[in-house]
Amino acid sequence: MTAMGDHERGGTASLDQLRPLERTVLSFIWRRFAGRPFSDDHLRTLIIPRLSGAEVQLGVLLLRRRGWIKAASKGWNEWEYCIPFHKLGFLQSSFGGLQAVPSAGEPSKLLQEGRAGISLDVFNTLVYAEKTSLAVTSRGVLHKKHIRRLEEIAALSPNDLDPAVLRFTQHEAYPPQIALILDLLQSLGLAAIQSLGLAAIQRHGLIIDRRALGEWLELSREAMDNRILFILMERCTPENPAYQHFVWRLCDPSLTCGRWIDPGLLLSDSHDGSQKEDGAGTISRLHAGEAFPWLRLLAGCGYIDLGENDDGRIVFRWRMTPLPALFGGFANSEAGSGRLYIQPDFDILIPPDVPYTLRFQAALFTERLSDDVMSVYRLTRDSVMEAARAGIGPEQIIQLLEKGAAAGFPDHVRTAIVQWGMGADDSENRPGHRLQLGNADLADGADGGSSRYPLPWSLDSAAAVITERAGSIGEAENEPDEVDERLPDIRSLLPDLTRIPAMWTKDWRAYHSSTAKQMMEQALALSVKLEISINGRRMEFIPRELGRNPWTITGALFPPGADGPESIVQLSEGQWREMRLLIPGSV
Amino acid sequence: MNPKPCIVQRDRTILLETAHPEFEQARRQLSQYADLVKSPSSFHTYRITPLSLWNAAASGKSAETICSSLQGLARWEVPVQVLAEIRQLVSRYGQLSLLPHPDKEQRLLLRSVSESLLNELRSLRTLADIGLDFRSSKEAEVPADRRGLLKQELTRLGYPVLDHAGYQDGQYLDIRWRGETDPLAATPGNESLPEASDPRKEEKVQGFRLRDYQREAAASIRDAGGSGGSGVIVLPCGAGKTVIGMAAMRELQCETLILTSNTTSVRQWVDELLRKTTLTPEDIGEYSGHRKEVRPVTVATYQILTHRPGKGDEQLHMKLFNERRWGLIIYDEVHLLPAPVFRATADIQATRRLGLTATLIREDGREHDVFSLIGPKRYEMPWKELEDQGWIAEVDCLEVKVPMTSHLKEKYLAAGKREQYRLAAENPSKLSTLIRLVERHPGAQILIIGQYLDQLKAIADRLQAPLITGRMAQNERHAWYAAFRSGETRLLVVSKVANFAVDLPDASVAIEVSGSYGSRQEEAQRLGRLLRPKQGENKAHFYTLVTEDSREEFFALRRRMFLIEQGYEYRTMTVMEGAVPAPVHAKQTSGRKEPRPAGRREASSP
Repeated sequence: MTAMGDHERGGTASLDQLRPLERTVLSFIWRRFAGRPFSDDHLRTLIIPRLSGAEVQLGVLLLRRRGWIKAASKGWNEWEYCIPFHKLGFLQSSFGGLQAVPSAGEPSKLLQEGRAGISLDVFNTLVYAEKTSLAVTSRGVLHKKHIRRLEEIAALSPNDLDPAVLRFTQHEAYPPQIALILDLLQSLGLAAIQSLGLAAIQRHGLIIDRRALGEWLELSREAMDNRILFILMERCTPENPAYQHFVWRLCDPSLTCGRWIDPGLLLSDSHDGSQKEDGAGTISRLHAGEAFPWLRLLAGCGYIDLGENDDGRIVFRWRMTPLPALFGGFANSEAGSGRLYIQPDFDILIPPDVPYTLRFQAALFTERLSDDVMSVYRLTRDSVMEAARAGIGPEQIIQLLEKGAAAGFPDHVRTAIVQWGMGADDSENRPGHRLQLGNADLADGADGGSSRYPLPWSLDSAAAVITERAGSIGEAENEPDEVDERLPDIRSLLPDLTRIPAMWTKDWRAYHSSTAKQMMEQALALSVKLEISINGRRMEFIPRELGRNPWTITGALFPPGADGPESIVQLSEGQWREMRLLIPGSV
Repeated sequence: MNPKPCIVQRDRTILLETAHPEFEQARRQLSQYADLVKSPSSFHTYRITPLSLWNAAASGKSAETICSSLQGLARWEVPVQVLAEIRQLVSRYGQLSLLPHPDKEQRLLLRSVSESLLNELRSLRTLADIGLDFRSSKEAEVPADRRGLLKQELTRLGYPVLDHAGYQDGQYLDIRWRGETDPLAATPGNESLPEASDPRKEEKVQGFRLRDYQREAAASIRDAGGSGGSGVIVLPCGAGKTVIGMAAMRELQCETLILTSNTTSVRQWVDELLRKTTLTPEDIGEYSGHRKEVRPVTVATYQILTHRPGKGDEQLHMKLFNERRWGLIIYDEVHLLPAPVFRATADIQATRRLGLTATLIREDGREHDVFSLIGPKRYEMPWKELEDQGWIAEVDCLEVKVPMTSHLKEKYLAAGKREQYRLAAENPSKLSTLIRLVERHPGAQILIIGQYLDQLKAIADRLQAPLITGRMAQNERHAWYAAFRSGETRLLVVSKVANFAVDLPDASVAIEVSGSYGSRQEEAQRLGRLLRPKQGENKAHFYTLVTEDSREEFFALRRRMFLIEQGYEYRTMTVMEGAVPAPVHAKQTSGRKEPRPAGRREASSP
C-alpha cells in the first residue's frame, strides 16, 4: 500500500464518520459550489431537501469543526467559505463516482499528442536557473534574455494555454507558458524571487530553495506529474463549479490510462450517479467548447492525448494514471533506480527510470539535446568548461558518471572530460558543492535573502486568490483535519429561544389558529422546521414562503424518519392540527 | 518480463540497446524500415524518415507490418503520433505511378489511385511548370523528357511515384565473367562447389565467385513486371560493391557508364573489370582529368562531369551521358554524387541506374534526390553480419598518447594555436613509439599514414621504407602498391594520397602518425584500408599516435567521431615519459575492460 493509499483510506473513513446531517450538507455544498468560495447569502439560497436553513447552518458549522469547510474572514463579520481543495478528491470519489463511461473508438485523427510533460519543463527550468544567475529587473520581472531562453527550453506552448482559462497578472511581461511554469516553481516551493545576496548592490533574482529542490528531485516522475496536476487543478481551474466538477470527473479512476474517452460524457452529471437526487436545479451546465481549453492545457502539459473522431467529436486519453491526484495524496513511489548510458559519441542517454537527482546532476555539466521517452544530453567542451567554472570539476563529473553509468565509460570520453575541464579558468571556480543534492548543502543558497517579492507571475484567477487566502494546499495537506480556530460558538447560530415560548418547542399540541400561524411565521423567520399533524399523520414541514390575503404558507412536507421524497405544499389556516417547532440544537 | 530492446522517440528516432538479447532480431527488423544514423556502443540510433518508409514500401512492407514490428520492439508505448505518421506516409507510396502513354511516344501518364490526390496536385504551381497536364480526374500527362524532374518534385512534395514507364535497353555488349563461356549459364557462385566451413577459405581455393549477399544484391535490382530496374545497394566498405556493379553489367549485357568519386577509384574499377570479366582494355575507357576515352564501358569521375573550363562556362563533359546508348549507369559512392549530376540524371530516366554506397545519409540532405532519380534502396547488408561471416575484418582501434619532451613542451606553450597543432602532430617522440609498434607486428603489411611530408620523410628514412606522396608519378605509385600487394614490400609510408580509394588489399596494420585537423571522412577512409578480410584471425589494427596534453587530442577526437558513430571503439594508452615507448609498458588511462555488448565492434588488446 502506498502512502497515497493510506491517505485515501484515512480521508474516506473521516467522511464516513460524519453525521447524516453533515454528510448531506457537505454533499449539497460540494455539488453546488465545488471548490468555489461561498458566502452566508449563498448558503441561504441553498435548498437541501428535508433540511431547514438552520440545519444547513448548523451542518456548515459542524463541517468547519471537522475541517471539511474552511472559512476566511471578509471583514465586518462576513465570512467566505470553501471546501479545501485537497478534500475535493475524496468528495468526487464519494459523492460523484462516475457510472460506467463507454470507451470511444480510436480517433480518426490525432489532434495533439501530449507533449514531453510539465514535470520536464519544471525540471529544465530548474536546471537553467541553477546554471544561470536569473536576475530580475527593478520591476521584479526576469530579464528578457532569460525569458527568451526559458521559452526555448519549455515544451509547453503558448497555444496550450487559453487566455479564457488562465490569466496572469503580468501577462505583458511573461509569455503565458513561462508564467505558468514560474508559478508552479513558486507553488511547489522550489524557487522564489529573493535577494541575490550580493553585498554591494541589492539585486534580486530567482533563487532555488535547495532543500526543497533536493526533496523534489527525490520524487518519482509519477509523483511529480501528479503533484503538478494537483496544483494545476487547484490554481488553474475556472471558478465555475460545473467546470470544476468536470475537471475532477476527468480524474475518475475508471478512465484508465490509454482508454479513449469522449469528454462530452463528462460535461454533465448524466454519468454521475450521485446527481440524480439533486432536485435543486442550481448546477450550471458546461458546454463542450468551454471544456476544450482545459483539455488542451492537459495535453500541453503531457497528461493526455487529444484526438478527433470521424464525426468531429473530440476524444482524449490519459497518458498516465491520475488516480493519486483525485485523492489529493501523492504516491511516494520509488524514484527509479535506472542508470544512464555514456555513448562513445559523448551523448548521455537518460532512460525514464533514472532518478531525477542523477538526471539533475548530469544536466549541470551537459547540454540537453532532446527530452523524449529517452532524454538525450551531450557532453561538450563548452558544457564541461562551464561546469568547471561553476565549481564542478572534471573529477566530480567523472566520479558521477562512473557511479551512474549503466554500461561502461569509454576511455576517450573520460580523457576528453579531463582535457576540457583543464581548459577552464581555475581562478573563476566556485566552491565545488553543487553536485551534492538532498542534503544540507542544498540549503546553503536558500538563505540568501528573505525579502520575497510579491509573485510577479501569479495567476489572476479567483480560485488562486481564495487558495492564497484560505491557506496553501501544502499546509492543508500536512494538516488534513485542521480545525478552523475562528469558529463561532454553536449557540450563536441557533434561534434565540428566549424569544419563543418554551412550549412551542416542547409540547406537541394544537393551538389557536392565530398562534398556529404565528408559529409558522416564526419558523420561517428562524429557518427551522416544524412537526405538524395533517389528517392525523405526523409530518415534518419546512416553511419556505409566506402568502397573505388569504394567508398561506408554502413549504416542503415529508414524513419524519423515512427517506421518501418531500412534497411542496401550500397550507392554509386550519389544515393542520398539532404542531411544534423543531430546533436543530436537538440534532 | 524482459524489457524490449528499443525506445521509440517522438521525433521518429529509435534507440536500440546493443546489449539486449534480442538485439540482432530487432536490428534486422529496423533495417527494413529505418535508417541507421549512428551505431556507437550501448544504443544504436535509427531514424524513420519518409524515404526509409517508402524504401520499405518499395520492398513490399505495409504500414501495419511496420507499426506492429515497432510496437513489438518498443520498451515503452510507441508515441501515437509516430504510428499515425507511419500510416500516413506509407499510404502515399503507390498512390501515384508513371506509365508509358498508350498513344503518344513522347509523353508519359501519371496515374493516381484517388481523385482527391490528383486534385491536391492540381493546385501546385511547380508541377504545372514541369508540364504536367491534367487530362482526367485520375490521370495527367507529362512530356517523357520531364520524367526525372516530375519524380524529383513529387518526391520533394511528399508524393513518391512508382516509375513503371520502362527503360531503353542500351547498346548490346557481351560481358561475361572471366572463364565463363555462356553468360546465361550459372553465374560465379551458382556452380556446385565443395562445402567449406570458412567462406574465405573457399574463396581462396576456388578463386573469384559471387558471395551470397553479392548475388542477392545484384538480383535485387532486376526489372520485374515493370517495376525495379533501378535502385541503390547499401553495403559497408570492403563488401565488394564493385563486384555487384559488374554482376549487374553482366546480367544486362549492355554498354555501361560508371561514375565514381576520384581517379584512383576509376583505375580500381578498370583493373577489376579487366581482372574479373571478359572485357578487354579496348572495351573500357577512362574519362577523367587525365584521359577522355569514351568506350563501351566508360569509367568517369564526378569531378570531370561537373568541370567547367571557366567560371560561368558550360559543363561540357556532361554530354558524356548521351555520348553512347548506355544501357546502365552505375553511380559509385552515390552519397557523394554532386548536385549537377542529379540534374543530368533527371534527363536520363529511361536508362537503368544502379547506386552503390555505404550510407544513404548525405551531408547535403539530398537523400530525396537519390530516391527519386537513382531509385529506392533495393538491398542492404550491415557490416556486423559481414564481420560475423568473416567477409570484413575486425579492427582493433587504439589511440596511443605520446608525451612531449620538456623542450618541445616549452616551444609548444610559446607557440600560436595553429603552430601548436603542427608541433604536436610532428612530435619527434612519436618515431620511437612508431618503431615499437612496427616491431610488434612482424610480417604484417603495415601502412604508416601522415599529414606532414617532413615527418613522413623522417619516418621513411628511419624505417627504410618507400614514401608515397602526391608528387610521385601514378605509375610509380602503382608499382609500389603492387609490391605491397604482393608482399615484396611490407611497409609503406603514405601521405594523404592514402585517403582515397587506394587498393591495398592486405594491409592489416595502419599507424596514423598525424592527420588533418578534424576530417571525419579522412579517418573513415584510412580505417577502410584495413577492412578487407585477413588470413587467420581476420583481425586488423589501427593505431593513432597523438601527442598528450595538446591540441592534437581535440582534433583527433573529432576525426574519430564518424567511426565512433559507426560502432568502432577506441581504447587509449599513454606512453610513459622517459620509458621505452612500447605498448607493453604502457599504462591504460582506463583500467576497465567493458563487457562486450552484442553488435558492437570489439576493441581488443594489441
